[in-house]
Amino acid sequence: MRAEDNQFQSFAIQQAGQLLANPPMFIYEFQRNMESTNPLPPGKCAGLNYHFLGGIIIVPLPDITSAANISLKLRLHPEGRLYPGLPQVDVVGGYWKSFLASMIEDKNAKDTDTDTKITKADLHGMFCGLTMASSLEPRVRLFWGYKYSNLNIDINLNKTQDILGSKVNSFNGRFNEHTFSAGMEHTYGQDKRWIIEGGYGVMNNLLSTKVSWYLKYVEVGLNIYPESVFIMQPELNFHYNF
Amino acid sequence: MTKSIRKFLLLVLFLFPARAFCEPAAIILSFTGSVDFRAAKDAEWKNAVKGAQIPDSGSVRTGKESRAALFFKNNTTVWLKENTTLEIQSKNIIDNTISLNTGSIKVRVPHLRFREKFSIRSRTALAAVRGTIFTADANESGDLSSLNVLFGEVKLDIDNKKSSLISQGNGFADGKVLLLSRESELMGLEDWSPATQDSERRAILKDNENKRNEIRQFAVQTNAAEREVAAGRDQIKEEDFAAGRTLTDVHGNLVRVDQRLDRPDNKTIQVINVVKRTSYSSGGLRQYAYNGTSSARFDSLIAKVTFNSALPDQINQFPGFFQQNDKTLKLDNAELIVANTTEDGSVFTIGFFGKRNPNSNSDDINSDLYVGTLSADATQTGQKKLFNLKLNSDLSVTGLTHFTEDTTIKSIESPDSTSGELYHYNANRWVDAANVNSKIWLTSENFVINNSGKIRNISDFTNGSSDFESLLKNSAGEVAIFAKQDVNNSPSNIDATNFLGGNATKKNIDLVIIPDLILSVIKSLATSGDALKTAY
Repeated sequence: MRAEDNQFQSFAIQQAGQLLANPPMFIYEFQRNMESTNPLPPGKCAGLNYHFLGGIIIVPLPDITSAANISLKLRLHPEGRLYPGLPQVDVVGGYWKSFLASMIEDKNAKDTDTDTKITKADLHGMFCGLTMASSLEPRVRLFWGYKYSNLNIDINLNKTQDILGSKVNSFNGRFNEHTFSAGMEHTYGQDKRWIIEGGYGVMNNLLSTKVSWYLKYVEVGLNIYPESVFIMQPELNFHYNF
Repeated sequence: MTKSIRKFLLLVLFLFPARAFCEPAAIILSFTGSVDFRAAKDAEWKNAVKGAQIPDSGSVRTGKESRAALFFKNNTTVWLKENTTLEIQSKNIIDNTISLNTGSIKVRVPHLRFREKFSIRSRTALAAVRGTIFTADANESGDLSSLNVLFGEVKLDIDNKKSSLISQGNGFADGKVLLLSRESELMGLEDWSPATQDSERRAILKDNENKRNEIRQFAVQTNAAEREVAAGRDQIKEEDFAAGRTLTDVHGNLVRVDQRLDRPDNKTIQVINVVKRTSYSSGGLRQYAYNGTSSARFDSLIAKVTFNSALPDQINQFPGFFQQNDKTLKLDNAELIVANTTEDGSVFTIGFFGKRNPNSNSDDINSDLYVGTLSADATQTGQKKLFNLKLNSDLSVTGLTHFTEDTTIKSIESPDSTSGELYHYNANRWVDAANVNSKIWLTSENFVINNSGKIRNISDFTNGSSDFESLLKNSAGEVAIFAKQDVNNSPSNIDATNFLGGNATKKNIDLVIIPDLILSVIKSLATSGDALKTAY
């Protein structure tokens, strides 16, 4: 066996180990890519966001084919409207659901079947939060916020499987996280800005950073999750702000 | 209940009509230079005074090198630059419009309550704002020439046709919405107060910029420090080991020796030993004559071995690695090069180059002798060529003459020492691979000396009271190497010139080699005992 094969094998075992240890947390790494928490651009009241991919080039988990997702941003207060110095306040939230998961279900599978089959597969998650933005300069804004994330995973097998020494017949779980984030947005052109953002999940001690280029309709970014197996995850979002 | 409130409001309007309709729209907060105001369109212009009240339909104008600041009831502040004229149209406290006839203004509308309005009108445009800081310029015709939004947003209508929402950081000029230039941004952010000297208007901005520069400078310095640490770390990994010592050689010359162990690539280990002398006396030689100059000199040794597979990064992992791969790990190339590198353009070089036959499973490497003088050319100095020497596939080494060992004659060895003195000389004859009639003797005199240049005795090592490490730290090897002409089947005193690149400049190579590097390697391996036991 070549060295690369060994590396891939150990990588796969590491992945499987993480999935078994805490399935929702494993999936949450991908959900985090869909959670857009940066503030609406100045002058915009609302925005819709669709996430195309994130770290999924390697593992076919939530992506355009399997995870339908939508997130919404609403501006509650424009900066300085009620009182000078009061930040822009946006409420953000989103939901995703894996449609591919339900497609691989076999409701008629029995534990006497020769093959292992999935009798139920449900993967979905949501997030909501509040983001505030304050201008440092006309083209530079600082923002900070809070978000609550929730993820549910429910996968049942028709019979018990031995996976890496563990007896497994279902992957069930719920995952909650409270994340505080802060970042900076710099406008460098008409409808062009780059954003750097860092976050800390207090319940699971999850660190995250993100650098992205936010254009009129598209956001291209790179998420960095230091404690994750996939440390760097690309991000491509489509948004429409109005 | 609703009827009661309505009645109360009507009563208030009836009792206080003047209060409701005669309030001034704005007051002159401050001014400098020539500033006038008038109460109505057809009224006389009057000289401004601080606190003057400007009613609805009133106007204010500033002359050359003059400025003014107006304050509105809704807490809006408007600053006027020189040669600016504006008219105030205030329907009531919650609906104010400024007509900018000409000039430049900066407006800060701090916050507006529900249904409150504030707008700027020019001949062709109407800008509606709330919670905004912006600047506006109108030309002499009264057309809006530019509008720069610093904070908040402005809804701009041009000729009652086109409506644009301009958010902060953007501006309007030449009929287009554009990103603010840095200069426009600074112009808008500077202090527009009339009382401020022109030279001081950007003082706060400059102060902020200085603070940012300080932060940047700090970041640069921190980065530089981190890079330095990283470079040091990389150097340690790259060099693995380095050592140096200053001592006196066997001739009495002051010598500086520097050694380093390098990893040019992950399959290769290279040791470089550099010897520097400020002058050269050859008085310690006993057997072979030195015919060259006595000026400062610079001798080098390069020993390089290349394996057939990548080695571990850390040298203390070598033993385990070699142990585990002893069946497959083989030496592909071995080179030992010594040279007198004093002159860039004339590097007298002696080298042994060998490589393993890749088709055989044997570990044997047959090496031959290569001698020559590396001269500088248009692209490389002789010294640089030295580090690029390699054995070609036809067993040649570019710049050096290939010699094979002459097995027809015995090598010359010094007799065994009876005194235990650690001195030895030897000579071997080599034949030019391209000309069997061209022969040279490779001779050397070898000493083990202490740091004072005195030749060591075997008893120093066997009977000494010093510990082994101290003894080695006070010991060095010295090797003086010559290429001598063959005269009557013996090495003569004449330096060999009978081959391409011959030693016409009568140089020798006199190397002092310290055991410090090897000692460092041994100590490193000894202190990482686990690495010896643990498989890589």
